[in-house]
Amino acid sequence: MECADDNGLWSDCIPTDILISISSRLIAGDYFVFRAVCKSWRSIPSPIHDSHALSHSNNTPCMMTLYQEIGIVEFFHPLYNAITHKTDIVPKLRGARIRSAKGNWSLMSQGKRGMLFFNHKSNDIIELPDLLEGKQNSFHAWTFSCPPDSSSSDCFVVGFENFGSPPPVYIIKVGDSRWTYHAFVNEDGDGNKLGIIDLSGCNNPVFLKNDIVYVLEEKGNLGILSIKENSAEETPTWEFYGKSLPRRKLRSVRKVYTAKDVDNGGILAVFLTHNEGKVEVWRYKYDINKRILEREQITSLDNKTLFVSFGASYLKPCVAQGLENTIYFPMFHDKNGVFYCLASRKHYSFDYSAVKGAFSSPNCHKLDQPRYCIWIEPDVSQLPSLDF
Amino acid sequence: MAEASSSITEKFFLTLKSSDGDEFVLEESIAIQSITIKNMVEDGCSSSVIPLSKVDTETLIKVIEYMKMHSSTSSNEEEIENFDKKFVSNSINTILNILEAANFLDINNLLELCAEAVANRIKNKTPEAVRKIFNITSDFTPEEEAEIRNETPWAFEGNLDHSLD
Repeated sequence: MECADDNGLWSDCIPTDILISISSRLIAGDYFVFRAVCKSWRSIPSPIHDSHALSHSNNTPCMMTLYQEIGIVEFFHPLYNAITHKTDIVPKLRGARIRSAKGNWSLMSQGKRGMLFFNHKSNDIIELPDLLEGKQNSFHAWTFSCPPDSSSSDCFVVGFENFGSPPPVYIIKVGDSRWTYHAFVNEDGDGNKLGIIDLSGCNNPVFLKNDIVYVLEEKGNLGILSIKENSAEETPTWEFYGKSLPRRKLRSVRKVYTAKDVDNGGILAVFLTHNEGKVEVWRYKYDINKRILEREQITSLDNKTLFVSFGASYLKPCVAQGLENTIYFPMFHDKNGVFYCLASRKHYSFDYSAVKGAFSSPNCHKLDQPRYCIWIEPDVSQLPSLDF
Repeated sequence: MAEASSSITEKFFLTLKSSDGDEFVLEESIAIQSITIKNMVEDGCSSSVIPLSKVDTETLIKVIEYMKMHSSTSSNEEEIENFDKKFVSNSINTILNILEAANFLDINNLLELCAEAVANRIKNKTPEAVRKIFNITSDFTPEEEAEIRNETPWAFEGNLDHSLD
């Protein structure tokens, strides 16, 4: 310790186990900065990140993946870059598919008519009435307004058909004894004739308020569904805004993810293209007074981090150093989480145990995409430990 | 209540001696938060003075302050929380000295508190700023430095803090 007084080099003085205990509290960018300080800091073994030391990771969504074949639910934490825990799939979820998620709850479909909520913390299940006979589950876009056990507002569950003018919707208010199927006459709220509206690419409709859902239709326009009278049985209204995006752009789009644009009162649309694996982010905002859609491409997320997956996406204040203006896709490279950096227009993964940095690429080819996975909100009260 | 019960129990005292030769008398029940000291007591090595050749006086005073606060039955959680907050605002050199002492004395809570404090000084900083804070000279060649940055460029691209706060 004498070297402190001598103004000597701390790098020579700090024992390795102390350096390990310091570095185990650093994640993402901070960890790689730590390793860039000097040779002795770089040489210490990769830390086991323990969750209670990472207070600021509480705000980070986790990836929940269902492996139906082997009956396992797996939870991946993007900041630890590790699977934090695994559990057996409860028998009632056998064969179920994840449709949407909010809070600790996921909405799942089972078979042709079964719908249920699953709480991944408590393993509670809330079964919803079966879908109506003859109107079975052919929908791939589902969403719900708030956790089904919410005491402050009613939970509406909405399913969207792919096509229609406008597309039919299925609605139930949790507690209702049956679903209501709403088909529409061929006009919007103002009596204007509509062509066929295609929602087949819209995988995550976004509840902007408890009774208003935003969807992105195939041509890049915004659809707004309004639930009326706080009732699933009242016929909701559809409105559509915007002009079709250029055909060439639309043809190049492989996948679209949408997320609530928390501070701007609209949605963000993330377009992933076929060939080059390019990523574009567009901001959609509907101006209620002027009744027009404002739509612009953006190149920054105001230092936030975006997590996108079919059924649930979240825009979060930057979750860790280095992850500002990045997008986490539901993709993996050698079991490492992959994020896209808007500034450098590249996909990256990081790996704490890698000697060299991990994967980086301008496109997302060759990345693994688990079939049944979704980002779920973190539970602040109990973080899983990393003890296996 | 605390007063009454402690007056019934017989108190034992230990003497800790810093590397500078200063001696501190401390209640055994407080001192055994250090697993190292606890083991010495259990092994019967504590009858005389316990020499702590790796801990200087300034650091030992801080460690004792910490142990007193964290063992005292009269201090409530809020008091302890405030104490810890103030405690980690010590200079980085002091914190590192305490960290080493906590490691040697095996006081887990103190080790965690200080490791967290040191980690917090590193967060959101550039490598250059971290080196200045810790008084470290980079021993990488410019080529090595460039290669390191190239491995994880995203880690160095954000709005990093260049200050030494």
